[in-house]
Amino acid sequence: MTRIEIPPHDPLVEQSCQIVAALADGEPVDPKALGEALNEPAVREYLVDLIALRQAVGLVGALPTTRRRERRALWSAAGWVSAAAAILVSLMTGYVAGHQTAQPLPAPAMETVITIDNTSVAPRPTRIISLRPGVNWTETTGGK
Amino acid sequence: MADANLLFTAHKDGVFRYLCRIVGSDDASELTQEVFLRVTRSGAPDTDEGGGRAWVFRIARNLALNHVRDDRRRGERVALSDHVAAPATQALQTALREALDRLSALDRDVFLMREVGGLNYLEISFACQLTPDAVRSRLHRARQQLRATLGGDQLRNHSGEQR
Repeated sequence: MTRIEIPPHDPLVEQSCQIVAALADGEPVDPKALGEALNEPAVREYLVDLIALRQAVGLVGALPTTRRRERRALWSAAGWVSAAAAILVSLMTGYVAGHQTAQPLPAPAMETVITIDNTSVAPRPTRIISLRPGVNWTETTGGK
Repeated sequence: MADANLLFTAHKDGVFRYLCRIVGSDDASELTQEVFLRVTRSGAPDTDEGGGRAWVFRIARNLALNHVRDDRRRGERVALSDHVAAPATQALQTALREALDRLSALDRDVFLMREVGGLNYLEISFACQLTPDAVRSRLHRARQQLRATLGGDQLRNHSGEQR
């Protein structure tokens, strides 16, 4: 930040300027000191500038409408892309590493061969049990 | 304890204008609401009107300082070109804003509280935690700096054009 160098002023004039400033600001002022201060042309000029400055500040409204540069949105989009890329790379790395280090499954000790025959039929019964109502079971009502 | 609602209602316009010149009108609206919340939550101190106004501005100043600090962390801000004014006024606005930016934060606050908020020296001393003599001195320094930056002739001519 650039600091403005104010040229050195006469301390008495500075004091007088503060007196007229106090007057302009509605602060209590010693009338005698005010009279002496206003005799000084530089102080009168200061008073005029002070009033002009006040009017200028009144004219100048708020700061112009500002908007934060869409940096966060950009970062947000970039962040999503980065996250997706990182996940993809992780998955690929994991797959490749797993593929390279994977051991082939050992051969089974005994092989079982299952033959699927489309023409298969139900096997023949080895024993037939005949059930007769009233003998092997009785019917009741109400599910008892 | 003073009525916080009454206190805020009485000074919200001044607070808004003050905040506008520090953080811009968009954020000033939000910050003014935040000031209202703080005032309501903490309860206004039992003091005269001047003390109450100084207290409200102290809250506003602290919020503005935090906001500016956070804003710097988040990134730069760009001005939008929806602010239309007469060329002379626009030039003066730009020059004055730049001149205000060159003031130290505390000098600028003291100046704006006086010129925009309408606070007296005692109120500013409370709001900015300074002695009244320091307020007088900083106010004078701020005015001298603005005067030196803007130039007395330019200031008078532009201010006269708007009358």
